Amino acid sequence: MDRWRGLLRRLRAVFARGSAARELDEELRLHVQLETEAGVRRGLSEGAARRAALVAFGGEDRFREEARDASGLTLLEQLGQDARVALRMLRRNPQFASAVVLTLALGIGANTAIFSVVDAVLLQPTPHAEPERLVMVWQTDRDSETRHEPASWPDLVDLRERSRTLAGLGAMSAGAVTLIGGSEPERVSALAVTPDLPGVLGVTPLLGRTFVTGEGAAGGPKAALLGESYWRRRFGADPAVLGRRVVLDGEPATIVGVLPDGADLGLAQVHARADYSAPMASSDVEVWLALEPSAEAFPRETHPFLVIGRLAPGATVASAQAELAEIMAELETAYPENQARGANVERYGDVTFGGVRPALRLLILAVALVLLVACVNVANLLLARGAVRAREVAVRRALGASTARITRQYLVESAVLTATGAAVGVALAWGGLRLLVALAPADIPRLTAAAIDLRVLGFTAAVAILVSFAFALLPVLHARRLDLQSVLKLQAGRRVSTGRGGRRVQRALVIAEVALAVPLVIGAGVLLRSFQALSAVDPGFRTEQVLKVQYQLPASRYPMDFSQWPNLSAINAFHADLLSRVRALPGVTAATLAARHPLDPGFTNSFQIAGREAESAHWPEIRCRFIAPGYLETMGVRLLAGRALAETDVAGTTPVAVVNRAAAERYLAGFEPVGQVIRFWGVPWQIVGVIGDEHFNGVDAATEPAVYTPLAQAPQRAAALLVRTATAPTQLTPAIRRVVRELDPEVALFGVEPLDRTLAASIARPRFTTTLLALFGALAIALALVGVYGVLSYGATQRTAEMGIRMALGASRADVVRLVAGEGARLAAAGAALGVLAALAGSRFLASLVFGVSARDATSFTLVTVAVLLMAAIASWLPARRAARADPALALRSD
Amino acid sequence: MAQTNAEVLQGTLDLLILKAVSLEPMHGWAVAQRIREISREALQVNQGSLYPALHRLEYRGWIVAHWGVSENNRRAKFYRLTATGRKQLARELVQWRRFATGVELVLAAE
Repeated sequence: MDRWRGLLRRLRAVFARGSAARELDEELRLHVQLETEAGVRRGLSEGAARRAALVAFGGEDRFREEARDASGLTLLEQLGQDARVALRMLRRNPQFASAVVLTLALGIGANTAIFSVVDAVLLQPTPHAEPERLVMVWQTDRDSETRHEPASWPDLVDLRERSRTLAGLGAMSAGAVTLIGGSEPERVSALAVTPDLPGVLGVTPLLGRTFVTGEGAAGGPKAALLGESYWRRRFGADPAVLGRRVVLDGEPATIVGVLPDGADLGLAQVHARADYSAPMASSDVEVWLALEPSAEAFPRETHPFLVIGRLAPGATVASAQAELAEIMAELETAYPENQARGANVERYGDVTFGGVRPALRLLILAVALVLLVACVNVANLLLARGAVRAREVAVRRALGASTARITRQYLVESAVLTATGAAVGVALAWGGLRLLVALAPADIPRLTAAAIDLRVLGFTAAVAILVSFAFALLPVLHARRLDLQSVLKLQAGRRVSTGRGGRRVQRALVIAEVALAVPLVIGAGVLLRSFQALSAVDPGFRTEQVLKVQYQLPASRYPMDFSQWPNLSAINAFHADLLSRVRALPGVTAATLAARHPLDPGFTNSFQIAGREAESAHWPEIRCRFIAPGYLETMGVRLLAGRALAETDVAGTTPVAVVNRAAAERYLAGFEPVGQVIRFWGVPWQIVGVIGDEHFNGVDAATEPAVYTPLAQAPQRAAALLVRTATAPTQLTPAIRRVVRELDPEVALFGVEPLDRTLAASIARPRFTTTLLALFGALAIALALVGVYGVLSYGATQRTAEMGIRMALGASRADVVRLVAGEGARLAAAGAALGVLAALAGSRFLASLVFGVSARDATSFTLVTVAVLLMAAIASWLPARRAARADPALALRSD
Repeated sequence: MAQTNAEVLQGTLDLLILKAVSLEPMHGWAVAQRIREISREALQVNQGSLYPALHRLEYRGWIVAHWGVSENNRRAKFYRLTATGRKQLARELVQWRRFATGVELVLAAE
């Protein structure tokens, strides 16, 4: 009963805090009043009696707190009160509060955003069953020293039969098909796979089934699977899509299933890694087709298939490698076509993520450093503030407030700060993640699935909160050691120094901040210089003011009749008509066609130079490119020798070709290239000229040897229209679409964009990494400089009296500036030295990401170090100047 | 006068307050006054500890408070003993007497 009453009273006390406090005040007032009256009755004057009453009363503060503690105004009520006090305190110190909140928010936000990306890309389970057992089976060629070649069909069949270490072995070949299933023909990214490949990958269909044997064979019933995203986008996620008939490149096919998004995870990376393979048009497979080629159509000397295997139970990558090497050696002795060929088994996951792992690892390291700098900065801010508050603590303790009570209040204050910081951090992480996804290159797998990772958010917030709690407690601990009397004797307004120990901690923290930030900035510097080098590479062609429009002619009405080849009138007529009509459009200064646009490496073929057949047999394959007349002028590629391909080089005239400089240097050194004959596809092409190197396989790669022949002499159904314009390139898009529609409404257009955007996309990944690292570097160094500035200006304020004495004794203002700024310079120099050492040690994280500069690029190291020291000097000079400006007399009196 | 007063022994304040308010409901100042008067000025309640003690006893449920009117018509908070408070007082009295007797015996030893 009484316990209940006690609880009720407690609750009432919490909710009616105001009235309880008022009652207490009233009770105390009455006491003093009655005591005063008693004093008057004893003969004291009114004033003396009142004073005596108050003195007898004792410390009012302590008294109130004890009375309240006893009356059940308990923890809950006090926490609320502490929070109100904390908010008031922070409102009164907006600079301090916003510095802490912002620092925490940046640390928490940046970490959460980056870790969320890493989680989505690298850490989430893949849709493949037992993905660690998946391997890529590449072919190698000892002659050309290539290690990532696709395989021939007969090789795949032999490997399947003989291998015991692989439980399954499937193949694929990427392309694009034109799908007609509704009103408009649509160009979709397609992947042709052997019927067993979905099983090898271990993906289960979302709907329907995967392929059965026979669905890819020539003349058999054609089947197709849809990718989930495409199914949702194009067919509105309609389950009735199963059994629906569509037309794929002119051939009827039945949709038999839908594969989940992610079933294609890694396939784009596999294509990108392969030597002699065209990259996938899109990283998402929209339509899956069955692939069952005949050995006749794909003999042993052609290598178009990318082979994926699944390790049998007990087998390892090493044992599979050993076994396949043995099988390939057997095939080499059996077939002359397999001369110099071997096998290279690679973990599938390494191919999928190998490209992004170094960049993401670097970014994780960077944000972890940012978080560390942020924590150090918060610690420093709290420490400096704690010193200011030491007196407050001492006074409150003297008035009777218990250490526990003060500690609790500081913890609450710290909690209010960190909670605000964490909240802003969440907002930053959310926005940052959106920004990251928008900024990121398209070839990072699974990036679009990135969502805020709550575990990481919790973890980073916990780290930040722990740090700020620890440092919030320092003033209390510090105050316990302070001599109360000496503190209290100080004039109000005078700050209590942090003491020698505190100063040492602060200096160490500043050095740590600089040492943590410098490697980041150096890394950003190296990447910036690398990116600069990358951007400075002359791609060999001019991208500005060029519009790229890709198209594909449907097979039904543009047949590839090889008995007539190369006189394929329908194809050649379309290309020629399109080109002449586009050239006539207003605003077009030049136009040309190419089977592949200048940033698409296209395919390779084996070849021979006439008269040097034996030697040629050991050469690697050469890039084959097909271009229309006007290509060199339109794209700004230089003609180095001989003549360009001309309007007169058409089907029926002598087959001609030009080679690039790389090919001339590699295969025709010591010969006069013009006049030589290069043979591939059984055609002898007479070399009529040498042209400059185009970086078609990316600006960061050396240009491969390439041969260019007229599109009219080697007709292709796919082509890229390249239009140089007088105005903004995209302004011509509608006119070009109209021209194509007039020529043939069934021709699908795709890849319509200014060519400089294509070029920019090709270096999107280094730009992404560089931008982010530069951002994090700037963040870290800004925080570190705030630290330098904060500690020095705090120290300078503390030493105002000392400066006064020095100046009174004859020190000049310059001496004072030297004294204060010198400390900053020493701290920054120590931090920078440590930072440079750390950057040297960490340079291996950059090694795989730099182009054209060393990961230990001396210029970046020097420039960054000098810049950091300069900035630190400015950050030190400001408080030094303020210290020197102080009037000696005032400074002395102020103590 | 103040110098001759003994500070109330630690731990005995609760007992003295309970005893005082057991006589009749009274407000804080009157409690201090009553203890001083009855002890013939020998015991001086440190007024800084009086109110914490009152609130502590109230919190434990040994006394309850209500607002009433004091002798010169002023609003005052009156404390009175509860049933549990009465039991507690009896317990503490027994303890105190045993303690005081013990002390007296030791001091009386030859």
